[in-house]
Amino acid sequence: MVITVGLVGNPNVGKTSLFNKLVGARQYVANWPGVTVSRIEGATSYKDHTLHFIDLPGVYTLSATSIDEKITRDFLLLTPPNVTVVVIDSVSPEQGMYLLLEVLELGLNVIAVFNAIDEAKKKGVHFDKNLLQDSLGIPVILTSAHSGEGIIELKDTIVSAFKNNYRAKFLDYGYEIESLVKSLEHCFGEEYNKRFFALKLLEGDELAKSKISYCEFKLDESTEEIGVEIAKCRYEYINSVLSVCMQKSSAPITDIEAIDHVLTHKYLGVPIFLSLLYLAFNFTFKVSEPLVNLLEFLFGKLAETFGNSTLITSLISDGVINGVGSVISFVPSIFALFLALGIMEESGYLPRIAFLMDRLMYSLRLTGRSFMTLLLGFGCNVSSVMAARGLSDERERITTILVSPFISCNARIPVYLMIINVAFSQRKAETFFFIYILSIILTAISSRVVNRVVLKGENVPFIMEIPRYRFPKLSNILTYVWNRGKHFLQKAGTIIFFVSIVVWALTYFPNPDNIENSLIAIIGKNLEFIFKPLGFTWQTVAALFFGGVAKEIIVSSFAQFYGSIEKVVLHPITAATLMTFILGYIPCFATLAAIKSETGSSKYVIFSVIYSFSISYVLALFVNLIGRLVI
Amino acid sequence: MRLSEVPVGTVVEVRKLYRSDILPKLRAVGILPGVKIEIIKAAPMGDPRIYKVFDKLISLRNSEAEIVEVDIIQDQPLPATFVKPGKYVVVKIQAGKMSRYLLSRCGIIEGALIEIKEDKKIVTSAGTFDIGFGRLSKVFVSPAKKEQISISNCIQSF
Amino acid sequence: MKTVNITLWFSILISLLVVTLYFIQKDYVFSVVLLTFSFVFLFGFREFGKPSVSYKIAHLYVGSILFTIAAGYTLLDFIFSFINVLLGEHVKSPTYADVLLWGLGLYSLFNIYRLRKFALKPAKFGRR
Repeated sequence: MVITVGLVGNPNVGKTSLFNKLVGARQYVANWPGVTVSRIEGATSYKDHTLHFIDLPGVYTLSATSIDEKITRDFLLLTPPNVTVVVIDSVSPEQGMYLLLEVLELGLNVIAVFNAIDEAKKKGVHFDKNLLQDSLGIPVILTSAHSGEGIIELKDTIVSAFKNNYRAKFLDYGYEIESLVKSLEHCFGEEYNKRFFALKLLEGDELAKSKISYCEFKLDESTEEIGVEIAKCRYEYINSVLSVCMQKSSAPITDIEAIDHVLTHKYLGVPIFLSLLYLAFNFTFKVSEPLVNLLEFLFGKLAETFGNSTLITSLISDGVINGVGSVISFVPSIFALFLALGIMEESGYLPRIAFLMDRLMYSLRLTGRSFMTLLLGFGCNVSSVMAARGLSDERERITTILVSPFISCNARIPVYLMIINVAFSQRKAETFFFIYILSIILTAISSRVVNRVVLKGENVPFIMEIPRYRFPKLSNILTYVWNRGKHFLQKAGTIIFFVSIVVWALTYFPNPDNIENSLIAIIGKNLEFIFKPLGFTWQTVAALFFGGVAKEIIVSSFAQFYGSIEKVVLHPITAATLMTFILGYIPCFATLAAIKSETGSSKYVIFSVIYSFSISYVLALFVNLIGRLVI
Repeated sequence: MRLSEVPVGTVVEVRKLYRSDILPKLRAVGILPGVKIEIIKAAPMGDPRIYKVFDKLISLRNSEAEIVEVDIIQDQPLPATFVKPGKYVVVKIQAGKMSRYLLSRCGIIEGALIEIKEDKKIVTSAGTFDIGFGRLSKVFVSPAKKEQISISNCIQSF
Repeated sequence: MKTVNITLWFSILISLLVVTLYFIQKDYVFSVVLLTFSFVFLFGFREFGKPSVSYKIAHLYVGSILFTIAAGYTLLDFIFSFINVLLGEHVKSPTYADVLLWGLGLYSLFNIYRLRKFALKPAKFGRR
């Protein structure tokens, strides 16, 4: 028998880590509320049954305003799972239980799970499980995704719930509301859950309003009062249950208060963040440098053993090893960057940054929440374009999607590293830091421009939960690093591999000995006039041409044109211009495809290409002029 | 009073929520009439701020906190700018060394009895002062009890 | 709490010394980064009023974490430079600043361990 199980809960209750524990799948858990935007599934077999889990986006209520909330609500409403597991944070269960009450109103087969019970115990919070079960009328399990406590029991309960089909009693809202609900129930067709919709209608929900078919209903001041009254009723009930079933020994939040006081300090907060970011980049760079050198050395030796005397050996050594190898050499740097970012995200530090930065983002008509989404872009622009789905406001979502390509993704790291190694070997970390700052500035400017020119609208709300600090768990960080970094390796094996061979063929034919006469030189020289003002040679132009597919190809192309990366020559001014230009000149194919699928219109794709090309061109020209004036 | 106007460090009780699109979300995180909220801290430039609702920390912008009407719970120290005229005891001074020194010269130290006038002028044992809004907001006071008032009257009569 | 004050002062002195050493070494940006971290200690003295001790501890705790991170980073840098041996290049030799920073990192690590129960157990000091 296949049992479908839906996991519902507030953002950041450890729903995803519970999911991982149950299914054994490797899916990343973040501290940022709302990372799980798409539907994530996994299956496991238990006692002759197949448990099919669906991890739903974290929500506070089933009154949907953002895409996340719509996904969760529509799933529960339209395709109810056999068993619904509501995950509640044990340390502060109130908001989770509110959601539980809403889910119960749908008349589903529900199990309540109090997660992070180990943390709660440490903080002196204790639950009486049997009392909770009696008062809620549904099975209650205390679990910890961290220690594995209660996981087996949960699986057992899912199976027994599937067989017994528990249905909880509904919460009684008192005579006045109940009679209103009764009078409204006949407004809805038989196919809907009448009580749920009647209540949602009183709460002023848009979906419920649209589903009325048999009567007239108008919202006025008094129904608004009733909406508040319903919520109050729920919280009163929750408090009465918790006062009996939960013992607290001390205020569980004070510890964060003191540490937060320093990390989100009025004056120190931002400098600390910038310093840590600098250390993270430096770490990426300096610590991994010997490893990068080692890999480059090994690939060089490998290419040497093959030689390049015949067509086949030249294809292998110049095309594949030199092309793909030059990109793969930077894997340690990329993994090191994600190690640093992963620690920041796992520990719960990043939401604090969103909080600190919100004022700044507000002036760009964005929120701290989109700041977080954009930070994902440092990994890969595609992931930040996709993650923008979690943003509730449509205008903010489109803005975030359109500015995402300006965030320096990991594909650009090898390109910068190559250029920096050639032209700025004395000031490596500083140049690296500077280009990232420039990337952030460019993103900010673009956000302003997009909001001025393309979209106009109101400001976006910023209601965000600040999660508890957690000591980062090594396994979680490694999963994070692997999930972000594997994309790079996949690309190296597929698209970069193919384009490297294409570039090799274009360099090899018609005359393998003289690159000046090759096909690629013809392409480069024909396009050179566009980049004349920037001072790029035909090699650079040809590399940029192919780099439009994926940025890493710039490195492999350079390696092929010059024989190997060590032989590349660039003047510092040209190098600075080139770096500025590469920062944004055109989003890679994958990002463009993601923009197309997320916005659903090619209008934004065309805008993105034209806008990014022109702004990078202007900026690069500016850098070039300044450079010439200074030197 | 709106939630966005309440100073950091105070505890308030929600009275009413005004109509807004974000209302369902505010209700779901627990911002409801009758619920106690503590204002934990503000980001640089005073916006957004972190509020504690049922042991959870929630960050709200001032523009969002504006739709929440609250009452300050009376028996707690409040900034002197937020209290009605009358006699008060200074409970704490949340300021740096310099401000503390200047305030102490006006007779405003922790434990001192002061009187706040209609025009926000302050009468202390050292005289009457107008110390300005910014500095005054850093002085937390609580209402003086009967016996404290009478003792100070005795001192004044001497 | 006298020990907190002493630890704070000691950490500030050592950290400022490290900052100066890195500055002399022309590692300007890194010395600014470390200066920011020592400001975390220094701002601990700006805390007044009733919960000042707990906030001072918080400053000391967070500052220690930051210095441990900085020291860990330079240490990793040093350790990974041993890979250079395979390439026939020489290993980085630690400067006085590096050694002092490692010392401070070790001291900070000890402080983190010692303060853990103060900084993370709310029951010890009352609410603000």
